[in-house]
Amino acid sequence: MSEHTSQTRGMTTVPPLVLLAIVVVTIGLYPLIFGQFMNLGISILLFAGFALAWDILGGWAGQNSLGNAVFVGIGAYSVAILHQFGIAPWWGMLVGIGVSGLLAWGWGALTFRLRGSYFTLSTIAVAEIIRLIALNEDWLTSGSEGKNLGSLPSLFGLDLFDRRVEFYLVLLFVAALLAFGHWLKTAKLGFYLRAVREDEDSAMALGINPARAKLTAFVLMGMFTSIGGGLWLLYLGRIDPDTALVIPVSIQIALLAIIGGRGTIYGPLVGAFIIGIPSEIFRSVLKEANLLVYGVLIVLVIVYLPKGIVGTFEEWLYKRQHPLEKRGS
Amino acid sequence: MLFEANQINVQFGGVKAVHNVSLTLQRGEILGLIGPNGAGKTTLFNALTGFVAKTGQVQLEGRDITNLPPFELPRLGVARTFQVERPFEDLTVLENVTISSFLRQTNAKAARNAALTTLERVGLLDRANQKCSELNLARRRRLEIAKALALEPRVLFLDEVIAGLNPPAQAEMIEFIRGLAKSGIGIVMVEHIMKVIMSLSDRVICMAFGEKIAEGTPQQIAQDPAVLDAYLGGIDD
Repeated sequence: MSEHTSQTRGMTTVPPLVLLAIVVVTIGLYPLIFGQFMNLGISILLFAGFALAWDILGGWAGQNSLGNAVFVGIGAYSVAILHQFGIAPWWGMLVGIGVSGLLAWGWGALTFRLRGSYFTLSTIAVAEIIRLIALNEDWLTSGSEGKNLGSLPSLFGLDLFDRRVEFYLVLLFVAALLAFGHWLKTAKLGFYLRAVREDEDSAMALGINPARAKLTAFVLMGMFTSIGGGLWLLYLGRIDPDTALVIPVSIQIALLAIIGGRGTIYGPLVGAFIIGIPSEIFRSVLKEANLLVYGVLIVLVIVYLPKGIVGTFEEWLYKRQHPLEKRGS
Repeated sequence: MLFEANQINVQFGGVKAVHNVSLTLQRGEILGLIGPNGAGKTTLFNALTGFVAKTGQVQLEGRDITNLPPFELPRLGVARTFQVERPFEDLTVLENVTISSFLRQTNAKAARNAALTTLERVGLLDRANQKCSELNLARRRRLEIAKALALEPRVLFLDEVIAGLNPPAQAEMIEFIRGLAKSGIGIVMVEHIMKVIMSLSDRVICMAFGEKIAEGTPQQIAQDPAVLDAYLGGIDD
């Protein structure tokens, strides 16, 4: 008993809300300092959001999606298509959330009864199907030409084409995802997802329905990603299948989360910044060769930090707070 | 009757792993399940807890639970442990048990407190914040039981929770299981150590080749010729 209290006293944890506030405020300073690099900041932050959403299913529930471009695309196209009919982007986003949620629900209901890599394979297939639909159904998506945004209504008097406005909207999106991550850490859903990730049979023995837990995470992931897709459209001003619906987008989303550290709340955010900034620099300095550097970086992380950057850091912290002689066995 | 299974059959391809086995269990009763390796004890456990397909009928306090999926049973009061302990290795001891507590508790704080109470009960409170992968065998066993107990079961299936422990740890575990039965939980336990099962069980069922070959008090079982034959007849490993 006394050992237990001394151990908890030894823990130096920052309260979640304080940590979240520090992170969000720090990122919020970016436009004030790097005002000339707004595009870089927005893309990194946006992909951080995509990766954070991916992590709900990929990190917490251990189901790897390699098709999240689908939800990015649905989010972007919903806003763009409805925009043509004079419907404001926020309503378009709501429609995107609904469509993504429904698609994830149907898709997950079909695939989550299978175990292992079947789900991942299905994500690649569905992503390709949706890309081909967007490419060929001209009446809906304008095919390979894609959709352009003309003018946009103002949101509470804010210009949605202003890069700073866009940055803070994306930051709001990321902050919501981080807050959701903190909630998951202590909530029943988060515990159930981790149980399913670790061992489905054990999870069932504790009264957890694995298919339902995974489905919930999948629907949430799809809906969150779709919001990001809508924001991406506002930032790009246009959308076409080759930008939003291609496999590299899906892969990048997954990699940022894996490299940063899956299931760690902040991992995907860290991954996006640590990979995003150098890859942009390499792209301008090295042109085509940047992909090589990018690839080497990924291999290094996977070999030396299999739990990702934040995951490895947390492990180090755990070992420091629980020295071996006190841990025993 | 707390728990009742009638004519349970499990078939793997052409092999009858469990053949027409029936059993009953009262509140507070400890039913021992013995038999040589490969007798079908664990398969029977898996069948009764919904993990493998079976024919026959299973009832919990008169309610038919035969065809329920495994994740529905804990809510109704049936819990189990696994022969090879299966904690969620990457999570802490407390987090592992908290997962179970969420079955009965709706909010995070209540679940955590219930988990701490359960850990205290099994003597793992001082390990609450440690990762499961660092626990020794005796503590892993206790964690496995804590995870089942946090579900607040009325029927508990224990699959070899004593074998492999050193004598003092065995004695502690035996006392602990006896206490669980006294609190009213019906317990079905598979165990290899004859001395343990004979001293702990109110009733014993012996299985061989998937069939029930004997049932009775520990004394009756110890003298049953069919049981002696099964153990000494050369099919043990």
